[in-house]
Amino acid sequence: MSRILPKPDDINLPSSERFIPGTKVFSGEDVAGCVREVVGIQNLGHATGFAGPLVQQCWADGQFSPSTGAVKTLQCRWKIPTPAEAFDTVKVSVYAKSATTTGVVTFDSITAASLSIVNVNNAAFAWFDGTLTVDTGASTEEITLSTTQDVEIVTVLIQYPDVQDGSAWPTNDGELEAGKSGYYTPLDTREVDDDHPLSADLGQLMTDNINALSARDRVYLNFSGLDPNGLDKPMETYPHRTIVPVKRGGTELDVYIYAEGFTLDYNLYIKHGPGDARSLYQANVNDNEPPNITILTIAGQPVPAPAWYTTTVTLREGLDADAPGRYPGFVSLEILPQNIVVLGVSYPRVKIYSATIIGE
Amino acid sequence: MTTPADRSVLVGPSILRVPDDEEMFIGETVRGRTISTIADDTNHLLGYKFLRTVQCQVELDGTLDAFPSESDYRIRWTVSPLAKYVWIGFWYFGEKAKGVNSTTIDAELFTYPAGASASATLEWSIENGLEFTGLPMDDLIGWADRRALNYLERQTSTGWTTAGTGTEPRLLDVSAYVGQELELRVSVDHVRLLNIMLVEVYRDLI
Repeated sequence: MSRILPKPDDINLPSSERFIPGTKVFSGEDVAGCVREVVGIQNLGHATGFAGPLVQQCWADGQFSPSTGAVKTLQCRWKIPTPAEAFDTVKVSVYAKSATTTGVVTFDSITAASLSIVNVNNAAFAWFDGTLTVDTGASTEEITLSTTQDVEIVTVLIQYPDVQDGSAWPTNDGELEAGKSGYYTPLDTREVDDDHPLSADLGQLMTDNINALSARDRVYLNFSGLDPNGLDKPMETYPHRTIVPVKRGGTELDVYIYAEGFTLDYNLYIKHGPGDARSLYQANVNDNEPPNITILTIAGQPVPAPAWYTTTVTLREGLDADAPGRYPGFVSLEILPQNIVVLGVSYPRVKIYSATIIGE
Repeated sequence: MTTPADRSVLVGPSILRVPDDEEMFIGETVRGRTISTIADDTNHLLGYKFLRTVQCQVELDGTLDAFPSESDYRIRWTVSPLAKYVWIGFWYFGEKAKGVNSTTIDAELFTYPAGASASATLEWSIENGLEFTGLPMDDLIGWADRRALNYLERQTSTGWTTAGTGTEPRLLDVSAYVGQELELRVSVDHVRLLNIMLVEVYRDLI
């Protein structure tokens, strides 16, 4: 089989110890077998890497329950990454119910100008799925959700599905389509069959693919306020947290905030520090700033209308003594809108309507 | 599936060095280090970077004091190819300080959409059976008090330790479900759930 897409539960990881530094790479059963494993793993990485949940947000029972009505109002807004052309469609899902069985949930992708209408036609809670086209020309896409009629939602899930090849994969081995897919070029195992010389062209494709795949990021936090009345509702002043596994040397994150403010600059607290998150929570951010707090200042206030702001944060390695092996550890992040005091006067807190953290 | 015990496989938490094209010019000899680096980098991508993190913010309209006592939540994700285990964590407030004696978080994994229990091979930090009853929620407080004490909301998770059985914390073994979609069902009683986090891990070196 060419351009193999191995089934996920039957993976052989290549061992670098098969190759002795400084020695030539010849064709042969052992070496070719190992390179063939690299080929399969890279193809599998293309099909599954970066797929997974982009948004998963829950509401307590009865919280997301707009009143009956035919008017479509903006309810939620999220930002998602779109760095890989192979992923041009997201799967949208809601765990919801509709007492009248006439509920409708509409997902809009703003840049791609596409709609996905999900009918909630069950009076008991169930999952309802749809697909939505997203724009791949930019690094991010914005998705909004709105409802009509009576719909009570517990969970909203937006995810990139694994790349499918139309076969029985992942139950059995599959095969990727020929030709470049975004920045990735599917590799052909026939080029590394036994007794074939290892081509330099294939090696270069492998390194190009590593660079292409490593550019795909993960989503670590995605929050949207809920707007039951047609107006964006900001983040409440309790903390919104997430966990980021930090690789050796640090992990760089892009932080997107959809917000507005009516005062001077305002602060957004993102905390990173020891892997023992409990100790982190003892910090009193209102007094002195612990050394593991990053304050992001969004300049240019006042902002009369909501807009997206972007900044970059590099997390240091955490300390998790219980982590196995050499894992550097988890780091906790927290977004917490604060009041701001200017000349003794407390001004309204910043209004954060949406927040997204994407990172390597 | 290959395990680290089978042979020496490096799944490191960072890319070592992506080889230059110059190391693979046509007509030039390709050295073993070049290919071994490609193998290590590829393993990193599947065994670290492409392991999935599933974060779920739990929202409500109003202050923390207004949260409903009982609520059910569902989240889904597809287990990635090299996810052998998953770490699951919760942040929460409880109501025990308000005179409520029973505060629980129940969680269980199911296959999706079949709905078959996927819990048989899993162990949670407190006990098998996926019930968090008995977690230390006695010092949890309401919103007004929280302002004074600052950040005393609690976190519980499946932990890292793999030794022992029964009450020992364990990562959850999901290796039997790679490529399949799983659904985590969470029910809370007098608990204000703030966040659910799942992080897939490849145990030995991640």
